[in-house]
Amino acid sequence: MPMLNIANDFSKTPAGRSANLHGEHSGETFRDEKLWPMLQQAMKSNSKLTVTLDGTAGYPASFLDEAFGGMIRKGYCNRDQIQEHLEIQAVSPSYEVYRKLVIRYIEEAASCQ
Amino acid sequence: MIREPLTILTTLFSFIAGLFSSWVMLICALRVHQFSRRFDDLCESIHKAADLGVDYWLLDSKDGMPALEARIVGHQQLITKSLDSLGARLRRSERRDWAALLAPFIDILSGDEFMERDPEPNPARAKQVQYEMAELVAKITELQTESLKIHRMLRVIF
Repeated sequence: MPMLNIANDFSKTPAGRSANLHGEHSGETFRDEKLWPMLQQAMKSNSKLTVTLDGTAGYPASFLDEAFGGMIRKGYCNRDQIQEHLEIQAVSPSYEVYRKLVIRYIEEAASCQ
Repeated sequence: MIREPLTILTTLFSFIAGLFSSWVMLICALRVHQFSRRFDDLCESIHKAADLGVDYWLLDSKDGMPALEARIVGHQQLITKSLDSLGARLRRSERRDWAALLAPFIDILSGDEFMERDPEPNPARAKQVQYEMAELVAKITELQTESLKIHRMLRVIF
């Protein structure tokens, strides 16, 4: 099962939304260079990508919205595909709030479609 | 002659029993104080994060924004970790869905244009931050009152 750990595979200090302001730590960069390519692979192989939120120095909510909600807003995929091929994991309870926010942003983006 | 040793033993026993009771009472008081202090610290962190949020959303220049952004994200982490450690000390029936309680506050604090906002102040957003803070603190205070009832103190002690 493919795994993506944001702290180890992307950044321990995720920043804001856009790549032109926050470069390699932005939600846009994470979505376009890590999350979406790996999710595409998972969709092709009919498997489920597990994204682990633990280990970072927290998340600005704007990063999570851009990364996860942004996939739907940009038309990369829809809510059903995300539900089928993406699992958000928070091992420590202190990251559970960010997992809840990811789910909320996916739902909000889907409801605006 | 026979009563003397008995009197001494009784006195000694009473003294030890009194000492033990005082020790138990002292430990109880300390544990309850510590437990109550965790709630107070948590509410203080939430207040502090909300104040930083208000400063941030009302800021009318780009100067100082990065420092506030870093401090807000740091306080978010402090709050989630404090809630986590507090939740572990509560009875199962008292444990709330902390994440669901906290999510609206985090969303209003660091969502939308956070880290990318214009230098135009956003008073409506600042008010929303205060509103969500008040809602969250009220829920936590309610839980604190429930948890500090005498029959639940035993759970804190042991």
